[in-house]
Amino acid sequence: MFEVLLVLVTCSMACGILGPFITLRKLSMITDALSHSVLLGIAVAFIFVKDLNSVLLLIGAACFGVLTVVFSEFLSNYKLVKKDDALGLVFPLFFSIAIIIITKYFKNVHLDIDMVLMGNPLFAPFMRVFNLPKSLVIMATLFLINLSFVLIFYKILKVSTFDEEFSKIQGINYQLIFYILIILTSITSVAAFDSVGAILVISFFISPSASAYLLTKDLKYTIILTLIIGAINTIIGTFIAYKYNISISGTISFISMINVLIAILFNKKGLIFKIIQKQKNKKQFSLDLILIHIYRHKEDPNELGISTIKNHLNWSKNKSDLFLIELLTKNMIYIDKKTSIYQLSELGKERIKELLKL
Amino acid sequence: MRAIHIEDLTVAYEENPVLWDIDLDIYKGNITAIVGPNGAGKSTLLKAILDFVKPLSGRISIFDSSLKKNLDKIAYVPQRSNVNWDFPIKVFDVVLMGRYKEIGWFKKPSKIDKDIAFNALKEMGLEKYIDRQINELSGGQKQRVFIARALCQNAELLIMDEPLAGVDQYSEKIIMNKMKELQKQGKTIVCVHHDLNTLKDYFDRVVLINRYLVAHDTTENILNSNHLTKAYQEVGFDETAA
Amino acid sequence: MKLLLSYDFLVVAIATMILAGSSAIIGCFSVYKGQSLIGDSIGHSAYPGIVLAYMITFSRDPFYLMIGAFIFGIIAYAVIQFISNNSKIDLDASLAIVLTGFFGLGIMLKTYVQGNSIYEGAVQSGLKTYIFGSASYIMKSDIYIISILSIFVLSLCLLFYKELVLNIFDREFAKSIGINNILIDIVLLLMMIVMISVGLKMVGAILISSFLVIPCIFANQFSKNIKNVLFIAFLMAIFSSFMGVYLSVVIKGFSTGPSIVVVMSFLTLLSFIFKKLRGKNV
Repeated sequence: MFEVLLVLVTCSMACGILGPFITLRKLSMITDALSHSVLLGIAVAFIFVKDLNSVLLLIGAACFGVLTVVFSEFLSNYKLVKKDDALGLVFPLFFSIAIIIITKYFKNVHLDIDMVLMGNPLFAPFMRVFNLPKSLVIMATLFLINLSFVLIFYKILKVSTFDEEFSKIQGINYQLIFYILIILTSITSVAAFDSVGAILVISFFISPSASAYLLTKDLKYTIILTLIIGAINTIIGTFIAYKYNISISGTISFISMINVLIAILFNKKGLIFKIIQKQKNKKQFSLDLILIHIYRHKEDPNELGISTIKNHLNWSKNKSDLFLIELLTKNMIYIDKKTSIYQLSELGKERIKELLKL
Repeated sequence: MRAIHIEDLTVAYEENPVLWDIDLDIYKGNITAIVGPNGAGKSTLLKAILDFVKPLSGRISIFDSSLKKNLDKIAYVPQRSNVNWDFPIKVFDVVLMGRYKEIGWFKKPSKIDKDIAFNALKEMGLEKYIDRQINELSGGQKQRVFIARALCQNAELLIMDEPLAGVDQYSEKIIMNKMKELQKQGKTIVCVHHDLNTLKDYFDRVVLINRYLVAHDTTENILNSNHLTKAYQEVGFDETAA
Repeated sequence: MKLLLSYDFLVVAIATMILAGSSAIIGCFSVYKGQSLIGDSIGHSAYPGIVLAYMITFSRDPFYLMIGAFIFGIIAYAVIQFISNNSKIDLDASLAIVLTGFFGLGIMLKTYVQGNSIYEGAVQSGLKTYIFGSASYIMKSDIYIISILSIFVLSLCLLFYKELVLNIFDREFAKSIGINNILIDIVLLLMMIVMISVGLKMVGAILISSFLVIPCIFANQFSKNIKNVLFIAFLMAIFSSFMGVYLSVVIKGFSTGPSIVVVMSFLTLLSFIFKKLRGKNV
């Protein structure tokens, strides 16, 4: 089990290191398309080499990965279809042809379609090189390649991720970086396929980086955090899967989604924080609103009358009483006994000054 | 007579106040411009009038009654940027949409509806384009299509969001001449407007807002006062405006 | 020729054609609404619904499984909206997150069923067909469900035609004449999820979205008028599914769903060429 876990964590890191760039550049669904359409590359390459362990399969897959992107870009650049729709056309086509080839020609080969989607990490330790699981060696190598790509091009990647226009003006070869990213993504997906399957590959690329992105602003920390979160998801998922004897890839994908949802709810500027903040703001806002109303309609007995003010604001009696009492206790307004209308106190006037300067 | 009566209106999006305590009457039979700097809340004001956004306080009445009761007396021309231009639809079908309210749910447009739509297109000088796809027209032509659609609604009150933004001179003339004509028939027109230079030519009254109501007066008075500079330079309001 | 008249072939072909035709119509509206990738995500995410329905009912009755898929389709949509509305994660990434998370859940449940002795008695071999789809497993009861729901969805489309068009083209105007945008959105969304759930068994979770998207792309090359677009997409979907089913019956080992998708894509590529050629002539 330790070796299985090691393979999985390495996979998650090899994917995760590229993840933030894919997520931030809105290429997430391209990964989805890639991970499906590279199957055609594997199938076609297999026809020629008849060996599932050949490196040519990786190359074939990478070719089709790039082809998917080039083809969709071509279609959308020529204004034949919109970008999203182009993807929606190209990858089902590739994937369908791949399925047809696989079901028709390789009935009894390990290239089972189920395997392609969900992989089977448990088999990973059986294939060995240098007394280590083969997939571990491959994924570790890819991690290092991806890592060096990120390190070497970090500055350019950073600029072109956040500001495509700017990087174009600066003469940074945006297209080149983009295609290197796509090629590395394709190769990594294919290599990870064998152990974890297409679905978990997408999840490894996107989910941890989304969680990390929610937790930190800095790109450097986002990358580091992505790696850590990916590893944690993998470890939790693997343990649960072992305990209940269910699909490891499926469980990790699911845990990764849950992780994102938790991050949305509980991060420092997360949903729960926002809801509380919103309530606070709304209250403050209502209080200010009354102050401004009084300020604007100074002395008008109708607009400011104790019993009539709520009608003008179109509030219920409960609501207006609640806020008026709060303002009275805070000493920001007082009731003019003679005319029985609300008036601003000195404190209230100060708040108005603050508000109008903004 | 007032077409729109707004009282103590405050609107906020999410946590940010957009409009503060607006009191405003828009009079019948006038062409009124709503003017203010970017982010002043002009479009929001229109949306509040149309009940698209829920105000935090205040009330709005239309023809001294509720909006719901007057829905069929109002025609709205949205900002062009909010429209899905990729949708494959013919110019004529867009104009016919002006009849949908009248036609009601589930029913098809009749011959009469089609005649009304055709006439409206003709008035906008677009009868040659009825079979074009909407996205094949120029900005000014698109805007005229939208005005034609509003004409089909046969409304008493026309509410338009930036009808002249990005519109060629020729289209602008056609549109504003039609507005003058509608005014003579006693209709009320309210436009969010961005071009201060044309205020004098087209509008009777100007509502100047910058999150607060800065001023509401005849175009002449507004142009002769210092309200404009004030609205465009600082946020806040003057007591005299209230 | 004999084959074309055989009962089995006819049953499968007719069901597929009805399904493809109505999916194409709904798909056009979804594509124009910019939801083409949402269909893909929901298609995958409906899978755990199938397995869960099976776990609860112990039966492979297509109706129960479809309900399961439908419910999970809605949940998936809600989660997608939750993520993209409440965080800085954009729609694209939330689609991928939900797709993998839900599909992963489906596989978890499926492997749980396979390894659990409670389910040994019940037949479970059919669960896999919902991933890739298989027209050869189609039974009479499937045909009834497909036909009834497709026709129901199509009539809703016709009934709400004006409102759908208006809502997608110009939301604000629609609102101003008193159309309830949210209601129309929900109707369209539910119709899309219904078509996805109905189609899962035949086309599978992975390719079902192409039934929604590709006919619309094809039709777009020929017309810029929504009525014609709908009509062309409808015909193209019906034709492709007939060809696809035919191919999958004639050539052994061709799965139905992928065959149909290949025919659809191929026609669409041809339509691009057609458009380019026509563009030059004019």
